[in-house]
Formats: sequence, C-alpha cells, structure tokens
Amino acid sequence: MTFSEFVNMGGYGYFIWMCFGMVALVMFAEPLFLRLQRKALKRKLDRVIRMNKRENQSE
Amino acid sequence: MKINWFKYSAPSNFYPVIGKLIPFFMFFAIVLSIGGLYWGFFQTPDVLSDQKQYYRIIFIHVPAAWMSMWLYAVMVGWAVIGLIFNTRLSYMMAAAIAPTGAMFTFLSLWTGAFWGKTSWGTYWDWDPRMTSELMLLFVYIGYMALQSAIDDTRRADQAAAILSLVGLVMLPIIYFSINCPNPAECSSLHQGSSTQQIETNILWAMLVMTIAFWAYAFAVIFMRVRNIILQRERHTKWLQNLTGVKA
Repeated sequence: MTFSEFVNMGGYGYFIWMCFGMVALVMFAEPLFLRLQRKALKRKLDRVIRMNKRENQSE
Repeated sequence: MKINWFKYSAPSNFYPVIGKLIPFFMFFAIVLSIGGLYWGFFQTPDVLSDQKQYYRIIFIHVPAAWMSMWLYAVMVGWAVIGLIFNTRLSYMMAAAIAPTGAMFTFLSLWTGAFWGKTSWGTYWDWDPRMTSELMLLFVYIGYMALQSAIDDTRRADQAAAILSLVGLVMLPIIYFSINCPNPAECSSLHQGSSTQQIETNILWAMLVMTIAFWAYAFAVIFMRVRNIILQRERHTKWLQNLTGVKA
C-alpha cells in the first residue's frame, strides 16, 4: 500500500479524514484552551494575593 | 489501606491530587489512541478487503457516542450528589464534565454525518437516533447556559443540577431509538448496535479507542475542574498559600 493509496482510502478519503481531522482538532484544542485558561486564572490569583499583601502592609 | 473519601470532597485536598493524575491520563490517552488507530488502520484491511473503507469512521464515531451518553450519566450523578449532600466540589465536577460531554456529542454527530453521507447518501436525516443525539447536545448546551446565566454560584449549580435531571430522559430515548423491543416497529435509518456482528479486530480497535477517549475525558475534566477551583476559590486562604500556584 502506497501513501497516496492510504490517503485515498478507496475513494472515501475525504469523508474519513474530515472525521478524523475534526476529532484531532477538537481534542488538541480543548486541553490547549484549558492550559491558557489556567494561566489567565493564575495571573488573576496572583493579583488577589498581591492586593491582600498591600492591604496588610498599610494596616 | 483505608482511604477517607470525604477528605477529598474538600477542594483543598482534591486539587493537588488530581493535578498529579492529569499527566497519567493524558499519557494513556495518547498511547492508546496511537495503538488503537494503528490497529484500526493497518491491522484490519486484509481481513476486510470487500468492506468499504468508510467503516473506519467507527473507531471514533462509536467511542464518541458512547462517551457523550456516559459523561451525561456521570454529570447527573455528581449533580445529584451535590443536591443531596450540598457539597460544592460535586457541583464543580458536574460543571467540568458538561463541556467535554457536549464536545463528544458534537463529534458523534459530525462523524455520523460524514458516515451517513457515504452509506446512506445524506449528511442528515431526522432519524430517531440522530434526532435524539442532537437533543442531547441541546440539553448539554442548556445546562451550561443556565449555569452561566445565574450570578449566584450556589443557585446556578442547583438550578443546573435539576435541569440535568430532567435531561436524563434523553439517555433511554437514545438507547431505545435503535434497540426497540420489536424490530419490526423500528423505523430507524441508523443500524442497530450489536457487538456480536462486528469483526473481532474492528471491535478490539474500537474498544481500545473507547478507553483512550475515556482517559482523555478524565484528563481534560480534571484540568477543567482545577480551573473552576482556581476561579471559585481564589479568595480562600488555602489556595493563596498553595506553593506552586504562583505563576
């Protein structure tokens, strides 16, 4: 089996790769998005911690 | 060894533990996906030379559809535990499962559409199985919408939990939409599900992919529940004192 035969999938390549492509795309995107969200949330948490420190110092 | 499970109902104890589990589940998801796809693409063609190649969509279509229903049941389970014991972590788990469940529902519909185009000649039909799966997607979206529409977190969790209980009716409908007791009364375009009719290699590749998807679901749900904890508990002392949280 050559590579182009494999991609062609007996004439059904378009349908098969649209399915596997979408699954791969979504399953890469979801953890990536969650990582970015985590970074943003950590920054927010850091701000809260810094704010608390400043309040404690001014007291 | 006796494990005190109630200890882990506190976000402060649960958060670090699941953080350690995420890499393991991700690792299993990747390894099993590679193994399952290799089996599915390279170890079955000789056995099935007469079969049309589009059957390979089965390796992602069926696991995605199973996960969409299984995750809904797990989500309702957490929501019910939340309603009974009023534990905030259970609600966070339910909220963390919903987007991944909706994602798998979408994938099962998407892959089903392309499979349908090849075998039935149409991307979409108002067939009982497809229609009920589409409604499950709307129930997931409804759960997430209701939960984010109410500002008070406690009330949002409770309202969404009750809505998820109502949506539970979709699971038997989806199941019986093709597994009806009298096959003569079935008007479904979608073929029935029977693991006995499937060739052994295809079945095993499919089951490996199911476990891979399941491990993936664990990993991303734990990632999301940690984000939810970071969001909701940011004013608590334990999270602010946690070393390693500092970016």
